[in-house]
Amino acid sequence: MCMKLISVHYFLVAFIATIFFVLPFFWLPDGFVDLGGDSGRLYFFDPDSVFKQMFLHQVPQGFGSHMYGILPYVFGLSVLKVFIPSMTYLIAFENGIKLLLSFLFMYLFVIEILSIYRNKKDTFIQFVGVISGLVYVGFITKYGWVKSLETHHYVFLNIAILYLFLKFISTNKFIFAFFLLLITFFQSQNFSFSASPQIFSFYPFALAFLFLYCRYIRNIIIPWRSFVGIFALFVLLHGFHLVPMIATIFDKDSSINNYIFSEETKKNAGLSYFDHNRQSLGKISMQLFQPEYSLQRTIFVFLIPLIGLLGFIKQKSKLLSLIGIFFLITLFLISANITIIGIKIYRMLFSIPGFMMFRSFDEKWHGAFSFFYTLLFATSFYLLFKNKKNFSFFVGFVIIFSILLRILPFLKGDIYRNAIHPSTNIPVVFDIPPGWINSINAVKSLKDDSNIILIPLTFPYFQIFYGNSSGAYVGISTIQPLTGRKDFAGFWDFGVYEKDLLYGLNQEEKQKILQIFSLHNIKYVLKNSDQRIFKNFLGNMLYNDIRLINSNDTYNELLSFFPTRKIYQEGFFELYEISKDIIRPALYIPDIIYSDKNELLYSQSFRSASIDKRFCESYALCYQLNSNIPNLSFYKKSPFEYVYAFTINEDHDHPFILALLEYFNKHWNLYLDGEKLPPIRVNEYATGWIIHPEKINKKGEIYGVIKLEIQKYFVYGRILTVVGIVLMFINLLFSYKCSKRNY
Amino acid sequence: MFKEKLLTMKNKILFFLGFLIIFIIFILDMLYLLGNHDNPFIISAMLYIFLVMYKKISSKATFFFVLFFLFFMGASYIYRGPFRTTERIGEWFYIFFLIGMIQYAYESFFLYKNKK
Repeated sequence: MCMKLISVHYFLVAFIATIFFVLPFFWLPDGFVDLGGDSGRLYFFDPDSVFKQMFLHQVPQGFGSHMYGILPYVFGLSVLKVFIPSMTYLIAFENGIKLLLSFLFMYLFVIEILSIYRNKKDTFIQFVGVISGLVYVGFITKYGWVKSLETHHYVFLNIAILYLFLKFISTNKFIFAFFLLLITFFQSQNFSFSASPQIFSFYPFALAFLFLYCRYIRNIIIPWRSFVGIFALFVLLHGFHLVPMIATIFDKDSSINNYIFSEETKKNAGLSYFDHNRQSLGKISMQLFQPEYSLQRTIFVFLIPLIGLLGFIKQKSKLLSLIGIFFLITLFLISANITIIGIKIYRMLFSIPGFMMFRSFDEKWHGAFSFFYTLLFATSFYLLFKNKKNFSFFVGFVIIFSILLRILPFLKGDIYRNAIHPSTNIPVVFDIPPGWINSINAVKSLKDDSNIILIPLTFPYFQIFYGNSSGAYVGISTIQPLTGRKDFAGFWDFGVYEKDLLYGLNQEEKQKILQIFSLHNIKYVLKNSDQRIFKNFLGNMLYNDIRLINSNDTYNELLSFFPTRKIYQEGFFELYEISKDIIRPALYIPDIIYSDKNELLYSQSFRSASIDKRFCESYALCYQLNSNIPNLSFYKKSPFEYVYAFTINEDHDHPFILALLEYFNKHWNLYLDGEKLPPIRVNEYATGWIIHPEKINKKGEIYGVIKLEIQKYFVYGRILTVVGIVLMFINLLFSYKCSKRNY
Repeated sequence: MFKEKLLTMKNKILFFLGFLIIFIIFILDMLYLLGNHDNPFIISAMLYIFLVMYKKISSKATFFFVLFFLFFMGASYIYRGPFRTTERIGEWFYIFFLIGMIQYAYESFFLYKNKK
């Protein structure tokens, strides 16, 4: 009888897990996808290209490098795509795995921690595990992670890692640590810079809980040495993204460093944002009653908090008190609005470097809070009903029903039935238009490395195109991730020239617009002439109030400013090439130099440049048309290395500038005549060097290289990762041999 | 004998008086008569902690208090949504949960050491 009951529970677990895995396959119609948004999920479309471009184009100039950790995951998708070629099913598979593993690992974890009371195979313990798994799934569906950030894998990852870690501590078997490390490696993006909030909100509390639980409740002696070894292996394994990230964090000029340590950022981007959010999102009731996005307010909202609380009344338990403490801490952090003193303390926390990552507190603490809330529920449920099993099944099924009712919109895939904001109700899911695929291939086939602009231009940096039959893509530009070519899809991409471009377009100043394109080495234009975009996307995304860019016809008028030729057309997609006479090459020697950006923008020369006033004055470089500039030729060896050659004659005695149209980075170094020259900022955003011909010993043709030196950290990181992988497998082999010998 | 009875009576009166004061503060706070500051929480918490220490109130009793706040907050949430009153009760809930939690942890780890 007992065996039968056990098998019924295993069947129940398998049944629920299967349902969770299969459900997402019904969310999207066949052939439809949702790839848009801020973070982009183009790796579902072409993981090979995304992997290749990410591997080759790592730039640790700030936020550019933070998604580098996604490489192993994209590699995994590449392999998976061989077996699941359909993009729709690949997305469904990923969502199914997320749901299934979240449920399964919470179920296993609850059984494991409750094993202090009874045998793991006990029917009641198994039942508590199943309900807790469902409660957890109910919590984690709150933020609609199916279409959100890559780092939302934490919903299953956190609990999986914790479970494996607990097994490792309790059994001291390396195999658990091996799988733990392997999972973290393939989910490296969840341990990268952009996942910092999820990491720092969950792991310090969860690991502290785990150690206290093992030490004081299960009386296990923590294998600290093994733990340090595992941590070292983890660092080695993740070296490929951690090393460049750490190097960037400690680079005082990097935007990451500025983001973390600047007082200005802490105050404006951190505290102001927090205070603003606190008013509308800092709600204890919303966290305690956990409504779904449909905001149902039924009697069922009582169930989980009530059971969580009754356990404290029913029985004294060390485990419950430990969980209760962590639950209260995370409830305080996620609510962010508990008493005025509490708010003051919370605000003080923002003076800690990096704490401003929790400014969206309700979202960032959600992983930790739902974890402890589920454990609180599970332990209380067990203590309450351990002697009333029949009644517990009734309560359990009511809870299951209430959860399913609450998350029904999520389970039905309603998140995919949303419309793009702001638009005239255009669905977020779309079927891939063949014209877009072919335009990507056309861009891939372009010979040189010049940059490309996408039309229509948007705010801030989105590409828009319609699906073949319905829906549309609105998200990060698809060109750079898939082709590797630097693109300009929106006004933010123009950095310091954003306002100048807007002003130039508004005033229809042809020369200014040409200069901005030229200064950014934009030689190609990919135009989407779909008139629906202008009609159906509302708000200021397309700057409809500027005449020159508010329709397909006016964009044609804009293009007539340029000497262009059409090199490709299919469907709505047209590819143009701008004459190289007006486009500055990636590396050039300016014929005239200004100290003011405005003078540069109205300059008649398309080889001019601007530098800081002090360099102008120190070397008398500015405002003289230099007709005697050396002939320059160059070769782009990689995105981080240029080989150049120019000829210096006896009559070249005046300093000149070598301008490189890559974002300024102090680690771009030019090697000339055995000497390393530090860069200066040119054209307000790019990199350049002052060359003094009189200091060069050798005359005639001179060769040299320009290198972005900070790239070495990527190499160091990759070496560490390889060492980590090797050590991990050696360890596995040794542990296997040892276990065999012991056996 | 009479003296002892008087003392017990005094204790009981003190005990109920304490609870009555907390209850009155809570009601006044719900009616927005005490302003938007922490004084009602501080006074009530101090008074309650005093009662806990003086009358040896167990965590069980505190959690009944918490249960009362939970019901009150839940009812307010269901009928009115996450608005000011609901959140204010939420703060009462949290403070008493915290007090109860400290008592409960103390009882679990030090008074009933064998309870896992």
